[in-house]
Amino acid sequence: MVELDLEGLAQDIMRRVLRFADDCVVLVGSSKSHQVRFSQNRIDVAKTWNETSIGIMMDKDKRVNVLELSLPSVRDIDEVLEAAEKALLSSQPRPIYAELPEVAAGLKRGVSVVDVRVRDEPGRLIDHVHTAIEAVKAAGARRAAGSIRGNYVSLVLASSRGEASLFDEYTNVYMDVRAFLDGEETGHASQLSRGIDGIDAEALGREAGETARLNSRPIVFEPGRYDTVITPNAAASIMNLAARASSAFFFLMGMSFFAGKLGQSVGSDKFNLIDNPFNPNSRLPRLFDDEGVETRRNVIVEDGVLKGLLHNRFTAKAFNSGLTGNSGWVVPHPWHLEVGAGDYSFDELIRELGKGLVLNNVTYIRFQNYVVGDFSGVIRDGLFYVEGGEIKGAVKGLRFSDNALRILRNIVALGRDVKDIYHWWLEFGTSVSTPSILVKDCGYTKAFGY
Amino acid sequence: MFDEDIVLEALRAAGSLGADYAEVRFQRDKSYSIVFRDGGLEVYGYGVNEGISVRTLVDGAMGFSTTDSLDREAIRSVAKESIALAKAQGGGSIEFADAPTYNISYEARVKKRFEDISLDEKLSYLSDLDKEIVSLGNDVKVASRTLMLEYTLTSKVVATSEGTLVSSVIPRFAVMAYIVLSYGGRSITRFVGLGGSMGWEGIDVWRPRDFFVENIKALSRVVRDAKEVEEGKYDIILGPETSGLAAHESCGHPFELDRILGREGAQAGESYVTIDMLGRKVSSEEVTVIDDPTLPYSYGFYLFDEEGVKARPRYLIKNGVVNEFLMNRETAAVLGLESNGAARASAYNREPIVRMANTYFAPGDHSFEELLEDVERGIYLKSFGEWNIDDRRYNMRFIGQEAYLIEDGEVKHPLWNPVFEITVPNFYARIDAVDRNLEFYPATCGKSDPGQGVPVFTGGPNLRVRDVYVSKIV
Repeated sequence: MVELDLEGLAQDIMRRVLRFADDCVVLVGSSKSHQVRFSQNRIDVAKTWNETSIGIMMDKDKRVNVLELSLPSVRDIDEVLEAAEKALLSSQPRPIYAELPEVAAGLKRGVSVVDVRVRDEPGRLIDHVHTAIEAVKAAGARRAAGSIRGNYVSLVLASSRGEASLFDEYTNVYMDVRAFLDGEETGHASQLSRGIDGIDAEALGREAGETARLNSRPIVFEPGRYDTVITPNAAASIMNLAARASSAFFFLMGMSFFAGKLGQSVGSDKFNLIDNPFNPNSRLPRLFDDEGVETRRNVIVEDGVLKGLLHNRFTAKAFNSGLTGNSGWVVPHPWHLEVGAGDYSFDELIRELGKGLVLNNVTYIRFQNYVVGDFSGVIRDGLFYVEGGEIKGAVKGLRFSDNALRILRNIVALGRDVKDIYHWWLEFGTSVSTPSILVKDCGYTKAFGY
Repeated sequence: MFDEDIVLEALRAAGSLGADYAEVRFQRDKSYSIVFRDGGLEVYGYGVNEGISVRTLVDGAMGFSTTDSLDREAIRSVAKESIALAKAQGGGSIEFADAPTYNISYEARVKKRFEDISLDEKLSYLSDLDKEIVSLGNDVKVASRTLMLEYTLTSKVVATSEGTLVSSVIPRFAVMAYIVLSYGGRSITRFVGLGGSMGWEGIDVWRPRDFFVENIKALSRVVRDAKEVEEGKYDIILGPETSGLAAHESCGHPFELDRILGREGAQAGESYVTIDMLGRKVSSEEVTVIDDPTLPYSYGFYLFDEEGVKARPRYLIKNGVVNEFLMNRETAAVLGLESNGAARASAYNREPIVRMANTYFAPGDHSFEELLEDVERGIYLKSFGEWNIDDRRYNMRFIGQEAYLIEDGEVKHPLWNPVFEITVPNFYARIDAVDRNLEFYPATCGKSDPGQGVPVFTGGPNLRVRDVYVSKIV
């Protein structure tokens, strides 16, 4: 394929836009990705994506419009920008406006975050799949399903508020494996890494298979409130709710259970939440955000107190806050969440729990009220009953039904077993490093007829 | 045509490189998005997402490769890549069911092109709507409102190595709102929308302003006057919004044959439905569930799927009996059947998989009043907030948002957050009456990895479910 001059493309589009706009930022991304999906112990499909995205944000007299284009639009760029100019001039000034920030200059990474094999050797993903399938079977489960995906991403940002373009380049790989003994007797394991060698497919297959075996012959359990150890798989799903809640845009829109609580307690004093793009396994280890602001480590919750929100230029203005390096042009967002670890091993957490449940996975989380935080989620891949500090067996028939703030406030202990999690079903798509978490009085409901 | 030329170029390349089967799809999605928040324009966005995908079968293994670079070298390269991905698997067992070939072009025509309406007129519409919503707030506060106009024009060309060549142009337009209402210590957060396969004329046809105003007035009453629900057994009448959700989640999804066969095992999940349930009675004769992509002006409208198979209405449950599953060519072959045209992809760079289009309970013979009249103690669940269902689609829950107590055949006061959580077989076994109303709402159905959100209609008639347990949020 023809190698694209991404910087030339970004700078050329910016120059054209600045003929009619006051300010402009152009973000060009080029990626090559591979995925292998499998089920029933065999590969279903192997895929490759070759993509180039062109994002353009333009300002004029406090009017701000956004364009998202794919590569073929470049051939019609004059026509596209003519329409964009017309739309910008007939648009309305934003009620809350902030100028495009000066871009960070000379941003460089100390260590490479690129494994070119992710881009160039898709056959290695197929090898990982075969390894995982065999490990699932060796662990005693009957069927394996899952997927592995690797992404190579290259970015160039050109801004009217900076003389030089910004560059970034990274790779990531993530795999998840689900093992089945029978319909409801399932287990799951996942891993997120920077490169091919960071994925241990054999360990993932073994963990999923062993969890499925542990999850065999589940008994129907009574609904109620139970102290619960939430494993990293499930904790990552729940922490994604905080990812959305910490975006200042959703705060303003009335879709955040953190709304109105800045500077106040939103969780147990043991709960700490940080957005850290520099985590070694961050899925998005970005050097700069979509407005060209240098990314940084941001404390969201410290010792249970909501310390800060995540901003782009407009939300920062609305909150009279500084920029945080989290810009999406409309919705600011975290790059990679870290939940502060505790001192407990997983076994110590189970002993501390004494009597209660272990929640291994929760998906399909939906809110009845985004501001209040009432939600429920579907449990899968293992819910285990603990008595006398030991796992006694698997249970089924329950739904995780609680309130996001109550869960954060009821955290009583955190493990040191931190895992880096990225599942396809995470509600906000933010990767998370989290340990297991012990939460008291978690709510569980049961369906009529179960 | 340029689009057809590049598709045929890719098809020739795949054929010459040894694909047993090749399918090439070009897709261009032109989209416009206007977000108006709390009285001001938040963003005007325009997007074009276009490119080409090549899906191939070699020795029963499937490769899928895509590019948004449409020069000839890139197109040949992506065909080569697709075949290499299939070959790298060392063989497989995938077969496609036979399907007739078509050479056809179709377009869902609009009366008023969205693109021809000035931005000024669109913003005026949203501004007027916003003012009207604000004016509704008195004792109940409209704490936040976000209004959205979303329009996408999808142009597509699908060609297969068997000789099919299908081109289509389909517009989709929706008017959406997210509203936060508050009163005292209570609040309600509500997504609401109307839409379909139309242009700007949808504003006149759907009358979204009236619909939103009616919704907000009703929910204002709920947040102010609703009484706590008393837990226990009730007859329930599901309104069109809620019955549509049930049809989609508890019938459409578990009837997707790829789930039944396990292909979504690690993602969306499998199904409580098994192949041997075909022909089994699962509900009363009143119950027929249809998934119909051919509904004119619907949000999920199409006439040919991404494999070039002609679409038709699918009768999933017919008079209470499991009648057919949703199938693409790969899954239909497993049962020795023909595809019923359910292969959809959300964009050029997504694999076609088994999907719904417009799923609903077929209307019955009753009036709404007849559903009500012999309910002694019931709940009318007109709309919902929270919902979910487990990955086998066996255990579902939704919580009423606009909901009312029914006593002795009469709709009484609103109820606060009644929780309806039930197993799916139990739900279908307890439906005893369906009314003759039919309303639809636009929605985006999510599935698979990478995620694919495809436009669908949900909705349907009012339907009655007897003697079920209702609780409240704990």
